[in-house]
Amino acid sequence: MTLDGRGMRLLYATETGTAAELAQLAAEHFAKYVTSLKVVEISEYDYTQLPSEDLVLFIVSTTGDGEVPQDMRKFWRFLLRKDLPTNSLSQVQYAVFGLGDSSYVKFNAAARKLDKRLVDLGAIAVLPVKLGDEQEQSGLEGALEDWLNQLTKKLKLELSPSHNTTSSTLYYRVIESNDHWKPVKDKPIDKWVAGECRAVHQQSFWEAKVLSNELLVAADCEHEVRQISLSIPSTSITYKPGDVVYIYPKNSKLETEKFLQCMGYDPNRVLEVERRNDIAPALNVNCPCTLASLVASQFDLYALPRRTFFRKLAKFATDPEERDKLLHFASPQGSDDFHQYVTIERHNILMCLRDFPSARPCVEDLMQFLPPLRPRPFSIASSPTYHSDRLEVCVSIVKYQDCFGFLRQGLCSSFLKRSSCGDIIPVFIKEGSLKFPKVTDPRPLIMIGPGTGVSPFRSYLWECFASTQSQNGQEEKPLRMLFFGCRYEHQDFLYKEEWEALKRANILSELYTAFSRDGIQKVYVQHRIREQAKKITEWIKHDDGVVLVAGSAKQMPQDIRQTLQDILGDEIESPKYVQKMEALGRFQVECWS
Amino acid sequence: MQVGGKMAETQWTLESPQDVDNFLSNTKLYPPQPSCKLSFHYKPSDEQWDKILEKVFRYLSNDGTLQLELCQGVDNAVLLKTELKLCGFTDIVVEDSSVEKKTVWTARKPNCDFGVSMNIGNSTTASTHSGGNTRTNNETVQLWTQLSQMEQDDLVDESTLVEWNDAKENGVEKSASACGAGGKGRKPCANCTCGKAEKQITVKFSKTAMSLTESVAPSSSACGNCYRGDAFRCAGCPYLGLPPFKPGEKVDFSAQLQQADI
Repeated sequence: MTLDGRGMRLLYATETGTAAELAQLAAEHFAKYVTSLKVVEISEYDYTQLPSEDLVLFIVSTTGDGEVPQDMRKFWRFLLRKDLPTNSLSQVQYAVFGLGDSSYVKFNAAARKLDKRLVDLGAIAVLPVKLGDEQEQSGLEGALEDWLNQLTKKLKLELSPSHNTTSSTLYYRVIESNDHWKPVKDKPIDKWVAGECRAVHQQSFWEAKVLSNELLVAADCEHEVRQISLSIPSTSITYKPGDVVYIYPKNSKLETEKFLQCMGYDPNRVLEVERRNDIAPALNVNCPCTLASLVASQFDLYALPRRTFFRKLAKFATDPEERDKLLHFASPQGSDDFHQYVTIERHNILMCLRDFPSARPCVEDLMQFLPPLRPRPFSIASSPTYHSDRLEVCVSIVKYQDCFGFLRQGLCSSFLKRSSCGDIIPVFIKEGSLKFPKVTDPRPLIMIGPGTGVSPFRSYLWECFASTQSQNGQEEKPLRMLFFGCRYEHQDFLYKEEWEALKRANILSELYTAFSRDGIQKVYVQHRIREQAKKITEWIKHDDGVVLVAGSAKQMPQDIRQTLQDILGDEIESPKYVQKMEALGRFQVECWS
Repeated sequence: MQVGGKMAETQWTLESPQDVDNFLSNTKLYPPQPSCKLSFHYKPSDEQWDKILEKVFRYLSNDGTLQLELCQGVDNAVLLKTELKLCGFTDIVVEDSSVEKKTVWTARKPNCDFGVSMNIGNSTTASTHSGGNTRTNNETVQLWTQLSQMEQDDLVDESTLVEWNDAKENGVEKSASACGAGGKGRKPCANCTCGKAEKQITVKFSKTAMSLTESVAPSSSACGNCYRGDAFRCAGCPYLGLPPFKPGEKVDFSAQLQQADI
């Protein structure tokens, strides 16, 4: 099996950035061989070209309730069309690698479904689908290495003669700036400006200004939730309910300083970074900039290191014991210890560098393998019409105690927590996976959104409100039911007054709440749903109703699906009914971890 | 960016990388054209050439022509010729005009499809759009392109693609986040003298320990690993979670507990 020299394409679909990292590793692997590999994020790929490709590799993670990643939804929806001829891909060779976790029932669902669908469309599998498993000893990286080696053998790839086995891929080149810029008064010379470099997702981002940062829960609430309002600088930027905003966070000043001190770098050094390689993540900098600003905005100091990070860092460790330990963590034999140090004890990049004081590469070398800061998606909670020129998100501040008892926090949520009015944040908007019915759609709508999952529903309901303002409300308004759950009515009942207002305006027909810790027994939205079984069944079966679910992944989507099946009918018929609803877009789930 | 002009020819004047980006993101909207003219007033980078030429090749209809106008100074004869060939262009001709101070390249997209023919697949479902089962790659691409412009809600039910055994026990417990749970955690150093029982460690680092500010000067560590950082410390080490320190140095627990500027 040989390639005709046109090259291979690697498409990856990532949810949290892991698949993207593995795609980069794969690209590094293939760079050694006589072939050109084009790495493309799947949402950037023109899927109509698929039938004409020679060889396509897929690296795909599974998310939520056995779903394909959000960025893959559009591609996937197209691929599922019944009107695609079943021999469309008969000239295409492919191989799929899946990122999964076998402790979930729908293990590697996305990769398996993709593989099957490609076969159904006539594509030729070079290898059976490779299911990476987080639970395995060697983890995802080990499985990827296996897959890459098998592929290399099967495709009979030859090492490129120009490849130097000791050289590593150069992703970025640092160009020293001649002037040593000094801050003028207290204003930094460089500022974060949406620059010429394209964002990681190859989207142009724009600058949002923070308009407000409010606590949405009681001050004594253990679980902090805030609403951040952002300005939209131009009328050409629009969004609709269900859309998602990607936010670029920064490391805190303290953490950045810790890093610079730890590594012995000069924070005021001014430099320009040039991207040298197609597969290197694009950085968003307005060149030139200070090293402090570069580190704060481009590199993820809170990321958990991958095995390759240890392998690459080892090269710089001058203490032989440290070097051996780093190599050990990267090796198959060191897999248990890696698991302990990284997965359980959660030593992040910053802590890792601190723990290996003899490994001190210069900035130019370190940036080749420091994980870049990726933007984080948030469901938009505001309505484009009602909230006109602003964008609001509901952020749950991540705080937890690690196994040593120390307090840890999420990078992006703490960034948002400390943001103040006037701060500039680069953002961009993408379509979410929820497809809301039109505001005028007469079908009854059932929304289930515990916690911050209620965000897209707030967006939709205010949009309905704003759209029907112009009409005089004489027509019958559609029936809409919202299920919301949280811990305490008086602590974290998000947007309580707003739901009441929407009910008075007849935009929201019915609201059911579940406060899990208010009573003696735990009450969740699932219980409330069961209480309304009769009405729900009627709305769904007789009136063609639509059910939308949003919230954090874990058990919730699975539970809701089960609950729905239970109330809609018998054990045999109702699962099929729910599946049919799904295929028609009448049952949709948007989850995030 | 200018578009339009003569009858069946599309022209673009590209003056900067930004123009190129705009061009690349807009070509999709236009149906196949018989010819295309690009005027470059600057030199695109290698990777940009690659993308531009690829896009143009697909954009042109069969037997279509491409004309590239490069201002003087923008020249890369060998590379450009290779790139054009790699994309599939033929009849590549270059003309140098010193009068107008520019170089003009013409290339043609061939008429046939590289001799590729479609297998007659095992189509069990009738295809609503093709007359028969034989189709070339490019025709499938064009078919897919047409379809992608039409909304379609009739999709294959994805849950039918894979069998799930919901009742199946996966047999793998998701690892609890407790320290050393599952027995695969840290091992104590062979000659550890400072290791306390795990119970004590938990107490030490519990919430009440957040008020612990006294520093402990480690007098000695038989295993020598306490100083080195978590990667070297054993299961019983009282300093787990703290940065490395020097022997005899006072260890300040409170520094660790200080949080980033929330």
